[in-house]
Amino acid sequence: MRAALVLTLLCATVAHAEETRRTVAVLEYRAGAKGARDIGMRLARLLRETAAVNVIDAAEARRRIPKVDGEVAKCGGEAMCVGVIGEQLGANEVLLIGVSQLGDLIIALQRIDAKRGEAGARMAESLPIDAEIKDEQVLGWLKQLFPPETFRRYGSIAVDADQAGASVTLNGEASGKTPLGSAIKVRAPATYKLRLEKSGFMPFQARVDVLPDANVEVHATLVRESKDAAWYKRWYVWAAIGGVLAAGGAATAIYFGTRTESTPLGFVHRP
Amino acid sequence: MFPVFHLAYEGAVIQLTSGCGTVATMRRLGLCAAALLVVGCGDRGSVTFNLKAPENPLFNPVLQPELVSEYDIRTATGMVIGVASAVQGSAQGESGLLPLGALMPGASAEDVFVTALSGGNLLGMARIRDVVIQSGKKAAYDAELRKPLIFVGSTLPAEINTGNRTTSVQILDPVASTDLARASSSPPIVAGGMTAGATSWDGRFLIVAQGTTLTAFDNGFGRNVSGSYTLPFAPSRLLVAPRDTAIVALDPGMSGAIAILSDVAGFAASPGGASPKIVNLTGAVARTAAFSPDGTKIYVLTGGPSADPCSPGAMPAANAIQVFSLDGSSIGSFALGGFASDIAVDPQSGMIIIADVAGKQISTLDVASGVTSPVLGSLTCPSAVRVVNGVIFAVTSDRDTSLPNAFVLKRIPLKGGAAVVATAFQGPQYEIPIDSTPSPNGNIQTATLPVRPVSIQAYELAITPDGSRAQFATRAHYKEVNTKFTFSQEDCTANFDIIEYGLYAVDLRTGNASYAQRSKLVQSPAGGTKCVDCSITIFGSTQHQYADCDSVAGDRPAGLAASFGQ
Repeated sequence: MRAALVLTLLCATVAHAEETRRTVAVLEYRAGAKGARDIGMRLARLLRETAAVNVIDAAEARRRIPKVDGEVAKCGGEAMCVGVIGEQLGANEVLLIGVSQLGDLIIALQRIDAKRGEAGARMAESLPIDAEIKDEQVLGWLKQLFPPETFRRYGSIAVDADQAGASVTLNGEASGKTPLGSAIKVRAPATYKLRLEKSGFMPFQARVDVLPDANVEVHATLVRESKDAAWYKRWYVWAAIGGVLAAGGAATAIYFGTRTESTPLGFVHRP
Repeated sequence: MFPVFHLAYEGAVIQLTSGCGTVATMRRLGLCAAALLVVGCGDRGSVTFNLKAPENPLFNPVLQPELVSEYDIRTATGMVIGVASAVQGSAQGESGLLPLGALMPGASAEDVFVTALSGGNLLGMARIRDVVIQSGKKAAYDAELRKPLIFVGSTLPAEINTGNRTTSVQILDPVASTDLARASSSPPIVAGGMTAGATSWDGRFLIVAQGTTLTAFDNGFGRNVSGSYTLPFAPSRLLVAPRDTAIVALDPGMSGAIAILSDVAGFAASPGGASPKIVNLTGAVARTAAFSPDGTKIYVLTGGPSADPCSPGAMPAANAIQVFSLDGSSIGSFALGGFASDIAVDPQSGMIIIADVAGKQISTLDVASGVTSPVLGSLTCPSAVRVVNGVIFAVTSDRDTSLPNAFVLKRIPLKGGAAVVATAFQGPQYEIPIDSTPSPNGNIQTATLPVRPVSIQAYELAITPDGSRAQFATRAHYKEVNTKFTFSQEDCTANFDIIEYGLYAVDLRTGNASYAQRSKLVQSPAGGTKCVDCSITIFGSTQHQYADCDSVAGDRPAGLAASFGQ
């Protein structure tokens, strides 16, 4: 009964966290190379999936600037020129991929600050022409280029309660009292144990799964634990009764499960 | 029809008939232990589930028995009866007769679901009616294991194009990720195609409509049964009732009728002998329908099958759910506040789940009280809904804003208490070819103008019984009216109205989605010419460059049916 009550009190929704993040345009320049055809889109996808940045991939870049491929080609890898394209795309920086074929396939990656038009971290990888490039490999390149904090992703939990002054704990750590001024920023993806407590009320508990860039809203209703209430309205009375019933149920199950004279046996005759 | 697969062990055959009931044919000493256990059980009784496999090996879910880790036996309400380990090397897995242990006797007969699992993966299922577990009684039940297949038929789009044509039925095997109908040797063929379909409750038959012709496809042999019945209309939908008590066909025509055929087994044995009852709806045309969990009531959602409520500007009138009994008598109706696109029934609670387009929500309707309650709100055109294992699946026109062109399928437990799980699926894309000159090195080729749809409607949705895969048929709408944009320094105006039909498959465990385009049909401009008009002014003279939109003739997926699923 108490469990059912708690379920009705928990209402969680997911919304995208509205947080200002850097935007990276992933642009590709090919010098007559035919290998690694999908490398640009894969880099963009993996960056989007693993890093806390907004990503403009080649398809989106072409939508915004239809001749972007030609414009990038004209830049010839010159950072200032590429930076201008990045600004036109609304990006903070450009991850420029140069693919060339000089015997081996050579993939060069370079971070370019769009506003300053300056080149930052860069790396190059030489691969056999027919090499199958794995996602783990591409992810490794990204982690060489971008600092570790870029790959730290966060979500948030917005806790709202009908009672002010309830202490909020996440995984046992105090996170303030209601009303909380803002959502609690947490590492994601992860699962958190949320608990709200206030004297005179039954504690509220919920397990909250937080996905990256998601905001989970929890609306908690605290149920008053009245001292004047009749004994049968006390939660611990029902908890005790529940325990007795559970024990009784278990004993019954054990009884029926172990007594041999009346329970039929089951078999599966497989094909 | 289904042979019992006896154990392939060598040695003397031991036929045991015990006082407590289990009869087993066994050929090696290891099985004798189990048999002696049965013999020694005195008067406690036994229940044996004799699992069988389909004749056609392509349909056999346990063709590789070493992949089976366990057989899970539950009641229709989900209560576990027993689990038998089939892992090779374990004490149980070595024999063909796997013990389930002591079973809890029940007061009455119950339907039982048998599931063959490989770890967490569903290999096959069987449903058995009226299983009785009683002390001192012996009983044996044959269970016909079948794959959780998804069937996809094909019909002509309403948008006329001279090149439109239907394709053969797909028989999708989610376990092997293959289309059995396109297997390399001796593929099973649903003869004549399928414009509407539904699988029987026990998974044995696919009930097939091809135009007005109604027949059945046997999932054991992998071929059509002989004979057919001609309905007075070409149904837009078919449904089979729980426990195979009836088949219902929906008439898409203005007459607004449904045909009710009782006895699925009887129909499959002799389709030509069917005698359906035709029931006229009261001033309405059926859009879709669902059965109550006990199979005694038919909930018919009105509104007609052709309305696309997700299209821009579409405002279909409020519809209703009319309720009929299997004898065709009307036993009530529920008026809805606005247009609903789809309904499903939760097999556990009996509640109707409504894809409420007008209310931008998924809601539940308690049929006892008539009270509706929102479950999931703020949705953009929830067009299709199903409920499997207590989880609601809804296809929406909500966009995933983190992707340039993606829509969202949402999942939420019917009872609430958990966050919404949103699975993005890449939207279809129409590409308008633009005249351009390739670069000398050939790397930069003809340019195209990619267009994303303004809306997407899932008009059919099928979910596998374990909720791991969604297959849905979509109608996407590309529509631009005097839309201005700049392309290559030219000022352009787009005017077009294009419909695209396609089929999605979404793996709900990984979030991976695939899409197969079936047709792209340009409604305007006529002939697809000049759908984009670009102009540039040079020395006071305005030059126009036009782009054409081409149709791609084809079909639209129809008759999506998931064995044991929804």
